[in-house]
Amino acid sequence: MKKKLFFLVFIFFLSSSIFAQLEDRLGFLTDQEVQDYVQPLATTLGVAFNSGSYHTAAVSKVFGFGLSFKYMMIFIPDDQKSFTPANMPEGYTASEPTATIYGGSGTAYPGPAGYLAYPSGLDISTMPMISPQISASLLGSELMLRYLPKISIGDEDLSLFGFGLKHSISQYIPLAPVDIAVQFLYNTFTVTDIVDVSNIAFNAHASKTFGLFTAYGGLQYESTSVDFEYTFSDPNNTNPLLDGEKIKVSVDGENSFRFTVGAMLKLAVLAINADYSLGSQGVFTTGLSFEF
Amino acid sequence: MKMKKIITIFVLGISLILSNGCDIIDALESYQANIAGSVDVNPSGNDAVIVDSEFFCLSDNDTYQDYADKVESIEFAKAAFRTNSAYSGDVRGNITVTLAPSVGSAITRTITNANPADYISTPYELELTESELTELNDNLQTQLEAGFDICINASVSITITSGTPPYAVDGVVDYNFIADINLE
Repeated sequence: MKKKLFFLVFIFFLSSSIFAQLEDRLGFLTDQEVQDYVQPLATTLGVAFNSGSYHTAAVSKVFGFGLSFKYMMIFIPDDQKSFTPANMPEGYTASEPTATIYGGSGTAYPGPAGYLAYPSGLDISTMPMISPQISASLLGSELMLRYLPKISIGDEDLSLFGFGLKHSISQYIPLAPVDIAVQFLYNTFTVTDIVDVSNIAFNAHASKTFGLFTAYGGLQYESTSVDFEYTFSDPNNTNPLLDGEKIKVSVDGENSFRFTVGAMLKLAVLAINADYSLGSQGVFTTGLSFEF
Repeated sequence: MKMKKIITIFVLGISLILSNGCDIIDALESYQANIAGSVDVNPSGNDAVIVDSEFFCLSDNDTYQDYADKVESIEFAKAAFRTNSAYSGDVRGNITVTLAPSVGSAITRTITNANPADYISTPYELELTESELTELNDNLQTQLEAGFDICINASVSITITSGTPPYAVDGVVDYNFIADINLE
């Protein structure tokens, strides 16, 4: 119940419980297996943090200000719900795949030290994320900020900082038929002692306004790196030297390029937008913005 | 009219967000844990049939103990027989593995004319039928809900077909349960 309230009240990214559970789930997995198990989550974090950064390419030539709430629904493809473990201990064979963080049941493989039981996943196909952000623009450039002061949830502290810099290119092109802008994004997200996420992205996007409606689209390059930390446990005594050791693993998301297409409706200072991005994981983004 | 439609769509969107968010939180609050373990079963002797049996109980399993008060359901998933060592290397026989729960029918599988040493690195998996699993799991769930510890008797008997006495097989029965855990 507490977690539900947290979700509803703070309306913010992921509940920290997904990260708190990682310790339970990662357990005896080796570095490589942790990478395979959590990589789809790393991709999701990258997809989420790098979404919702624009809904028009127009940038105020004088001064502008905006406050936005963006909601992202990320779709997890089936091929990111399972993986086949590599480098299993001697005597074990991965006869069938097991679940990633988004899959269903974990597989138990028989072998000379008993069943090697892999962790189950969350068994979900979509992941929602919500992001508040503010932006200010001046003379054809815009600064966007995403910030969350350190919040304690249970034993974990969660914090977020991100910014985006956007610059209008079309202002240099006389009689340009569409607005064109380029943008750089940087985000960090931390849950104490469990996960550190850092993202960068570059994009070029264009938009065309027809009365109240604006159509927009863009191409983005992005990269995500997530550092996970967990305590190794060794129930099968296959890696006794590591038992109880703190393990740090760095996992790169599979997100690299995405293509976005969307539309915005502007009613005075209120803007409502929706877009879809094609990439390693598809993401549907909607947003409500107050801007002038 | 247009504004009314936009507000309606917006309210529907917010409802979708909140309901989907709660679904995800529900997923985060449950965890399906593999509860794997092993029990030593060491038949030995000079007779033509050597037998040993041991109980394994979930209350003895470390993983289960971590979640014991949060387990909502339990299912028996897999079992396997393997050999740590066979003291009489040339022993052969029909190896019968029996799993007998406290309530309900026992499950028996036999490997004919087997050399126990063949199962040192490659366990023999007991392929349980759908009906065996259903009956077993119905009984286990009833026991769980009644607050009883879940125990199963693992028995290994070997009918010797060749070899030199005394016979001794250092056997192991591996098991894996799947437990639905409520983390809330």
